[in-house]
Amino acid sequence: MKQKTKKDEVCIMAAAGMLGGSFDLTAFETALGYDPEVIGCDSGTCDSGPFFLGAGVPRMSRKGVKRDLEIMIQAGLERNIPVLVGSAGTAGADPNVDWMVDIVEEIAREKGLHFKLGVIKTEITKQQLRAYMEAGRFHPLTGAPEFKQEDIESLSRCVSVMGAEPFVEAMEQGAQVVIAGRATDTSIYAAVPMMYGLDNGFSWHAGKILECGSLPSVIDKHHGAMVAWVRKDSVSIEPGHPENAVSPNSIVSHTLYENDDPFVLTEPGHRIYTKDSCYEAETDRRVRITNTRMETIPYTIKLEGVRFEGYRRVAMAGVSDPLILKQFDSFVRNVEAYSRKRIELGMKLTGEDYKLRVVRYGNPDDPNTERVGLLFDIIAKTPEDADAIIANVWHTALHVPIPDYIGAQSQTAFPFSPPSLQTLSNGETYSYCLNHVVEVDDPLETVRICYKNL
Amino acid sequence: MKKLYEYAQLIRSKNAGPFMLTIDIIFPDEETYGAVLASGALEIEKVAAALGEDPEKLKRYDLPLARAVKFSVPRRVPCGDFRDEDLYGCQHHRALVNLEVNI
Repeated sequence: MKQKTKKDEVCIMAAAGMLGGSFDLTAFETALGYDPEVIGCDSGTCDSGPFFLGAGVPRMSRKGVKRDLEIMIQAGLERNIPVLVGSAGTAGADPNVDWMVDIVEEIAREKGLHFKLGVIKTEITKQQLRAYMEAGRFHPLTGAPEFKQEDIESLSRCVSVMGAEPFVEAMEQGAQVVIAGRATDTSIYAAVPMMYGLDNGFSWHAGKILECGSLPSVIDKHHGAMVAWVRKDSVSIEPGHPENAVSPNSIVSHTLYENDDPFVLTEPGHRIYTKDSCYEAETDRRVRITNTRMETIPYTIKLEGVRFEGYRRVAMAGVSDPLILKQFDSFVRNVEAYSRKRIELGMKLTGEDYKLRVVRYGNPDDPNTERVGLLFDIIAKTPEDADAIIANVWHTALHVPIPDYIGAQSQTAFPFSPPSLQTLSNGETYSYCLNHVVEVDDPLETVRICYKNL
Repeated sequence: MKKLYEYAQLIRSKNAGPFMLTIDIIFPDEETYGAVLASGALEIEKVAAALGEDPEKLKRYDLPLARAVKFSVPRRVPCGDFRDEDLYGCQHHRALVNLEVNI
């Protein structure tokens, strides 16, 4: 690790917007040519829903993640600069982190690489959560679902979304590669400038842009690296690939993306204001940002938590008969009602024991409609119940009669056998139940850091 | 009378975290951006009515540098909930595509 003397300018790079997406090599090499002080990459998102946190499985492929990590780690070790990965394995829960650490260990073995690996876990236990609640240090964010002490037991898993300080701690302890659990996307990039005395609005603003790799380009022709030069009074941004460019318009447009308030960015212990930020083209490919403001705020850490809902099964069907389509509402109502009745009779299960919904695709009233789609979606308490319930539902849908016909009828076209499907991990289904923060005294309070000499 | 999509270069919606939705409307040039804003078509009350949202909960942000208007609103159902039909919140902007704009 380099000396942590204060610097006037720190160059940081993002390898890409998402680890495992196979970033462009030219973009990566060109960015490295600027001698960055860190190679970072985000690996997570909560956009894909509660499943990945609940089940602790990654969304990206092992092969894709290994390819990207291998390139990043080799480059980092050659140049003696840290490699930081945040929100490992999509959700950043402990099993997601373990999954990625296993990949890193495999790379080290195969390539004969030796280095100090820092592993940061950010899951918190029910006991920890209870302690925050009892101390009055647990607060809802806007739109948060109600969550009381008695709800703690129903929680399947909870991660704390860490800030930049645990990255700094791991680097100060000599970690050359850091695999972190759930972290704010920006903290990956704010960490190294923070270590060199540049914890300011520009490092966080840079992080907000770099977290998506080269996506903020005018046209993201070659997705991959993005570079930033963080200073006391400004930051400059340039895409790695020479054929990519950023413009003031492309950078500002990016502040809109997946962000509810484009002018205020709240991070653990920091709040960044970009409403008065100035953006100017420094070259035809590079933008300089000035006038971003930051204030330090009481240190809070966001929590993401899910509860287990049951096992999901689905079936899809097409309905084309115009006589059914003209009475589609009552047909669908009957499918649901007859199914519930059969499930109660045959399985002794009531509406308390499972959930059932029918989602429609297409407009049955449109005379040009050839076919309308139905999705039957159920969640049950056991995988066996789920299999039996969905079979009841699709089989009921197959034969629910309409009054226009006399005799046995077959109403729904299923595109495969068996007509039912399960989602990943045996249909395990979760829901988000936390959108809260906890107040902490120490930014490292919710994390556990360990080191491995590979 | 034209529709919003005839003036915009992009109308999109997306999750902003599991509990918020955000809609971006981006215009191709400053003149169109200014004219659509001046027409009043994107006033909070009108957009809220089109989306079926409570105008008190809908927030609007103007970004002249990006020639963009953004609306954010809490999700009625969290992302991935059993009642959710749009995991990424990608189709919540649909009611605005044909919004009437009188310039």
